[in-house]
Amino acid sequence: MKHNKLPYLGAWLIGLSQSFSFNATAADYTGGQLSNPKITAAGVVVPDGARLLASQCFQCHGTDGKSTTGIDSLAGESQAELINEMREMKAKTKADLMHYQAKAYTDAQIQLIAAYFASVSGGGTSHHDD
Amino acid sequence: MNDISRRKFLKTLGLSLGATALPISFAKAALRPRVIVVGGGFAGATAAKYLRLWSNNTVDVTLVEPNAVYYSPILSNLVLSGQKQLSQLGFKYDTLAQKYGITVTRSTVNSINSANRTVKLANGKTLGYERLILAPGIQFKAIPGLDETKILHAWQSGNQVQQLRQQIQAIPNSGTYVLSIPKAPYRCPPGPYERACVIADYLKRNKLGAKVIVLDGNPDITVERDTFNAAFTSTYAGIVEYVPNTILQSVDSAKKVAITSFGDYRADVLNVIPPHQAGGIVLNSGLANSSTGDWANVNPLSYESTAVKGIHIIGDSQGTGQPKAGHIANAEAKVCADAVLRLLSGSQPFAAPMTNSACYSPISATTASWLTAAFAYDPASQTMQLVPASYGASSGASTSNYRKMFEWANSLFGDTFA
Ligand SMILES: Cc1cc2nc3c(=O)[nH]c(=O)nc-3n(C[C@H](O)[C@H](O)[C@H](O)COP(=O)(O)OP(=O)(O)OC[C@H]3O[C@@H](n4cnc5c(N)ncnc54)[C@H](O)[C@@H]3O)c2cc1C
Repeated sequence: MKHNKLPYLGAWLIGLSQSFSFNATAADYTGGQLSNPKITAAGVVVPDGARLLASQCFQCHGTDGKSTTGIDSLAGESQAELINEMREMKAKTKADLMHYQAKAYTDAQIQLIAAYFASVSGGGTSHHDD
Repeated sequence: MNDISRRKFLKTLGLSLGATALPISFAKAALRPRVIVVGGGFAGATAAKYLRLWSNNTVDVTLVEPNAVYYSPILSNLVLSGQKQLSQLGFKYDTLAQKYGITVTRSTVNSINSANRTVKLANGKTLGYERLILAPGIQFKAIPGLDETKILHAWQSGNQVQQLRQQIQAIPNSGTYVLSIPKAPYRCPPGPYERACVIADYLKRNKLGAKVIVLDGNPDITVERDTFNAAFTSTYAGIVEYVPNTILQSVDSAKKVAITSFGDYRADVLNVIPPHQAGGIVLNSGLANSSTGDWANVNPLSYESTAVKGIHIIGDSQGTGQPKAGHIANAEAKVCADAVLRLLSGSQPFAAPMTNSACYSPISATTASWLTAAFAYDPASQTMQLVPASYGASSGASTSNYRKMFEWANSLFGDTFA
């Protein structure tokens, strides 16, 4: 597989250089730090951003990781297993959509995402076997 | 809102009570904060759903949308080739209303009073908000001579797609279909090339000697160049003629002639996708403050306008430079919904949001390709930046991708509308 050449990113990136003028500084956002995920027994309340990060998987894996199509569910999977799968996909260079997506996330982010899905009850039965 | 209900509200959001001062508008507001979402496409529908879901229904959400049924532009090229019926791409708002308790109001927002925090609807009603989310998609810029009733864009799905299908079916043998692509940024980067392929495939099988001429306002195929170049020069050799750097100057709508920087192109079917800008409500409300004046600059942590406080813009109308596409519109909507709930409770948006994009493109009646990327917030530039290692495309088109395309689309439709 040939990686699409970066010059063709043109259309996607126009405007990225536009400047923004909002006032908040990084210090204002300490509430959104990546450390110390707080996941309740119900698994719903994850105030530190784990839920938001995990929600970026919902487009394909279903709301809360409960798939309604042939794509795998992630809800209720073990945290360790999800972390391993993501790490494996990050390491490989396979022309697979999810392998590219995996490469976008740091290990810390992967742990949060996996923690969120592990905390969702009534999870799916399907299982990623890459 | 009294202290007990406020504490309850914060608790359901999972946010600490450490946060103090509530925004004035919120303190003054009725017991439950009100969020109005304008536009029920991929961006707006997702935002409305997740505001309710993530607030445990403690926030009142009104979705204002004029159409009873939303027709997805995603997969709409398959309607042109007869592989999908338009009705299969239609989504009603009943599930969002019933399952999540969203108030769906069938009307158009005509104007915004940001000082009073109200919007005025076409039906005469005025609604108040603590936070306003605008997700109106795109509108087209004028092209001299272009009569939209004769020369279709079919770029917002719905009726125009059905009409373009009929025009294409009526192309004679040896006839010509001409597609004009605007300069980027336009909605769905691979979309126009995908359309050229799907129509070439239909003509190849049904109309002897018919041709596709692609007039591209861009200097080259903007994305998935290897895949589309192979399709144009090999799969559809002798059918597709690709002409880069061709700026459409005007149109003779009666004679179906595209007048371009490279000369005139006469067509049996002329399909013009005009250059885009943000939806009318964004432009008319002074929110299109990008350098070109076409898009709304926002803080990508919350999608709040950099021009007017309390108004957020998501989806194709925003100007962060992320691609204008439905999958990532859904992604932006979640970042926005999460931030709005935090802001309503006096807390700050999450500091490190991620978004992602995926496009599947049918190349023929049995094959498809894909393109994907993820974006991460960069605190130094305060922008969303592409994560280079996440940017990739399929190696050409395949039948397995064609099957996966429907799994992907159905999942996205479900996460957005159900
Ligand atoms: C052929 C084609 C293929 C595509 N393929 C893909 C793909 O593979 N992947 C992908 O991610 N994207 C794809 N897209 C792009 C995608 O469809 C758009 O980017 C997406 O629809 C944008 O979502 P939105 O919510 O911003 O706008 P829209 O979907 O346009 O929704 C806007 C809504 O707002 C409403 N509205 C506007 N103004 C007002 C107002 N004043 N008051 C009330 N309501 C209002 C409109 O009625 C409309 O329902 C494709 C597009 C096309 C044309």
